[in-house]
Amino acid sequence: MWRYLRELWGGFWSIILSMQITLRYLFTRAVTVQYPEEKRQLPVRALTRHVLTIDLDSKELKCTACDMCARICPANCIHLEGEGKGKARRPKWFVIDHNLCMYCNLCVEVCPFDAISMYTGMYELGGFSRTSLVYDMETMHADGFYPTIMSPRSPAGAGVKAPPPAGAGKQARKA
Amino acid sequence: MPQIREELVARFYALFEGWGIPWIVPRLVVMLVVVSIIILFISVSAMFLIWWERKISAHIQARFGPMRVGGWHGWAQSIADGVKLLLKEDIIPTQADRPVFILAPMVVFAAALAAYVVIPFGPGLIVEDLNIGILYFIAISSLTVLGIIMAGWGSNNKYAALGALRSAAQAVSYEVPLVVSLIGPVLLVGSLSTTKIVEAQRYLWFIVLQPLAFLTYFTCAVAETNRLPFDIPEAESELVAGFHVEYSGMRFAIFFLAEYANMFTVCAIATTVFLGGWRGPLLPPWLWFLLKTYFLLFVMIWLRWTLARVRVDQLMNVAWKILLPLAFANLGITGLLVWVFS
Repeated sequence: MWRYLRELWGGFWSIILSMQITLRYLFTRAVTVQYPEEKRQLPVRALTRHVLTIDLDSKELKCTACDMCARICPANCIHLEGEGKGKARRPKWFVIDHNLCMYCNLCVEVCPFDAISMYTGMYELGGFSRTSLVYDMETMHADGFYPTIMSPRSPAGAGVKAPPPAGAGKQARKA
Repeated sequence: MPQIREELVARFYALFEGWGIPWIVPRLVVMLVVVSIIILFISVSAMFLIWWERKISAHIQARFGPMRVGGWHGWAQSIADGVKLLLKEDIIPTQADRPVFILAPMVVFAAALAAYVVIPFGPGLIVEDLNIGILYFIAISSLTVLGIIMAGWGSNNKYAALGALRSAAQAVSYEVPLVVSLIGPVLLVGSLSTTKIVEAQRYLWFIVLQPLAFLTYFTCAVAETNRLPFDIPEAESELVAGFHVEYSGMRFAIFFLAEYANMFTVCAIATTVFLGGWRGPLLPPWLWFLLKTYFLLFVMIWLRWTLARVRVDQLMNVAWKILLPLAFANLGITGLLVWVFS
């Protein structure tokens, strides 16, 4: 009899205690982030879409078309062709196929001039066709981005996305 | 309030008598109006409850729940769901027992609806103040299980049949402590009429005098309405959905409506018998009644998202070995004290 009552009380008390816990959780803030309206702050060095950086003084691409990023890319998604000799050498066209990119950051690390960057915060890359994920040179420096490894935040406003031009896919296939 | 209502009804009857129409017509019209009001109330409160339950469950799990439909915190979610359910195709399985299958949700809903007759929303705000109110509620509330058995049997589905059998076992077991726990307050009042019970709690709510009876009643009420932790008739992990596996669209919506209507009924009776019904300071009586009832409903939802489902044998243990002795102990002590003090 005594044991029966003690077990009964124990059960009742445990229900009260667990209800206290659920009540506390009822009034904690929900962890959900309401995505399109609010977005999570990305880590400073999150690897996102590539941009080609621009030299602030000359307002020109830093890229010298040395082809090192294209060679180191394990997914073989970077294609470019240069023109000009010596210091005047610049890419004629530069295409990154983001269908293939595996976000390894090797192209950024290997670049001798910090001319390519992935610290851009552009992660909303969805498109309605595969060609819309193929980015050409105009798209990749359209925002005037110049993020570097040391100062990844862009003054030009992160998250600005220019739509890729129509000819982007054709260029990729040609290369 | 009751005087105005009675006068209106009397004038209505007189009007028809003047036109020479038989007396049954105006009475039927009045009944129809009252039933429509009740069905409207049930629908609105069920829709609110579904939304509320989703919100509470979400916040207990640190989520938001419905946030999109209707703008402010997804308030129109249940309206959208209701419209969707009404527009869906009405599927009746070929192997089902057609008339039983079709009738089952109606029986469940009719039982849930009939119990609203004795709920006193305020002084005079009661459909019919029966002198056997509590007895009527007990009788009607156990009618729900008939509809559930019909649904389980008519579906011709093993999960549905199992769910219905479990529901029958559960309802029969929990009916006993439920009734016995309600006898305590009835002994104190000396009447089964719900209005008289509320009026007897002018100075002291019966939850103070009968805490054991309240706890027993509330536990049994949760079990009667087939809700967690006693929802083994529709245990999703074992029985898919229990007795309403084969139901879809509008018929499923009626089952859903009946479940929430039942929840409201048992909480309303708990408010009437233990929490002083419509009595309270400042606010109007009907608001007090709804506030108390919705608080109990909140406790029910809160309990649902706190406790895990019990096993079948545990369910029977709780009913016969714990709740019934407690209810009888409470009844014995109450009877003794009433006999000593009167």
